[in-house]
Amino acid sequence: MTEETAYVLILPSIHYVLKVEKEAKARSIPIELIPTPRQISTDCGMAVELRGDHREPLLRMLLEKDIPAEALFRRSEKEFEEVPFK
Amino acid sequence: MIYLDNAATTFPKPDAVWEAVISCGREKCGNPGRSGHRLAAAAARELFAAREAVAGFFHIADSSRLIFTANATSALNTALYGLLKEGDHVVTSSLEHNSVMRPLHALRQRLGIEFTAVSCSPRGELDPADVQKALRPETRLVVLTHASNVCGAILPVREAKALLPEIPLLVDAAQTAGVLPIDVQELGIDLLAFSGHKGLFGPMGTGGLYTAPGLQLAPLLQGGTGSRSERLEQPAFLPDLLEAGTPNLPGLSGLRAGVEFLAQQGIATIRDHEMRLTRLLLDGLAGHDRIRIHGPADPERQTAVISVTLDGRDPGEIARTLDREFSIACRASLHCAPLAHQTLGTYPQGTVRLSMSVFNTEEEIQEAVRALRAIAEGNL
Repeated sequence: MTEETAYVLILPSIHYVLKVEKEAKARSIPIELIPTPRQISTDCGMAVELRGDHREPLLRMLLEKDIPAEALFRRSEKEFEEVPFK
Repeated sequence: MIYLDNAATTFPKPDAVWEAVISCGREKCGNPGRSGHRLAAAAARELFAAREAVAGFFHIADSSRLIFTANATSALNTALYGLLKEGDHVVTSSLEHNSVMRPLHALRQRLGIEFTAVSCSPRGELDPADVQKALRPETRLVVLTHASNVCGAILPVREAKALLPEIPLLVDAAQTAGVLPIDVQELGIDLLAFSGHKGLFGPMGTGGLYTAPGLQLAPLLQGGTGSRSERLEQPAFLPDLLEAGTPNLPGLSGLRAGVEFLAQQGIATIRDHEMRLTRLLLDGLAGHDRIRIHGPADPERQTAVISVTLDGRDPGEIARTLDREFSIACRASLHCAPLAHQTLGTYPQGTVRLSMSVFNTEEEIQEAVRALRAIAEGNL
């Protein structure tokens, strides 16, 4: 895995997107909120984007804070591939 | 004007509340959670910040378990209709507001639920042991007002819960949110319904409901949430499960400013001030042979809400004289709580209710005492 690998995390609703933003900030995990790419979801308008090297601490945070996540996608160029959380 | 109708809605509000409403309306009022553009994101952040602030105020660990409603009535209906099923039994008190009694009555007619309204004393005291005695095997819920909207009496919700740890407790905090400290964990509250526009100093059209982990309510309303849009079923997760439709975002921005004002002032400081005003009013009216005070008549055991009657005078007429002759705003009659008046012995004529907030001054209370004594003397 290279540092350039990007992931997109889909959450059930905007409440949880902002919960992730708040908790990630508290742990100094850099993430970005993006409009959800149409290819991967037609639903919650926003998603969380992160770099590959921040995947592990972010997933750990989701577990510790009991934040329900819907799906995780790996992005390469313009392709999205759903990947397991572990 | 001397405003002593704060139990109906607080007035004035802190300036910061109205500034927050305007700033939200001018700069952040997209539809939260419905779109990905920057204005929608700003709106979603505003809603999230309000939810976190209010949840923190009540010591709610997971803010997703706090849903916003239009008022305390809507929160109470959401809890009662969402939880109760045919054959369930509910224990409540004889001091409840119609926002509890009317849904319970309707549910009795529609679903065949049953309820027991435990009698409080004529001074508004509830013995928690009487709540325990009213339990049945099919009791699903205990509903208690945290304080009477008629006489201010504070009910022993913590003590009642301690006797009945296994039965969910719904607390109607319309009169106490922002007035008494409320920690849902410490008081053992499973469901907390509150109004935004009273002690929390938010605008009208705001309120909320907390549900403890492990309690799942059926939604009263179904509709758009911005989530799981492809499905016909309402999403099963909170807050979306119980928050269909676009929320009152400017109002909730104001509510957050109200809660921030309370945190800044400190609930203990506010309570001290209101207790001092309550003592002043009680002492000023005591000892007059035609003035009767209903309820605890003890600042320690009540909120800053006092019900009085004057022998031989109609409460509506007294309130009108206070308004016209003294510019004192208060409320007369039954205060949407007929059962409470039966308990206090003031049914059907009702009482004159004087209710204070942190913005009232000792001079205003002294003026109210002078006015009521003058009316009692028959000088007006």
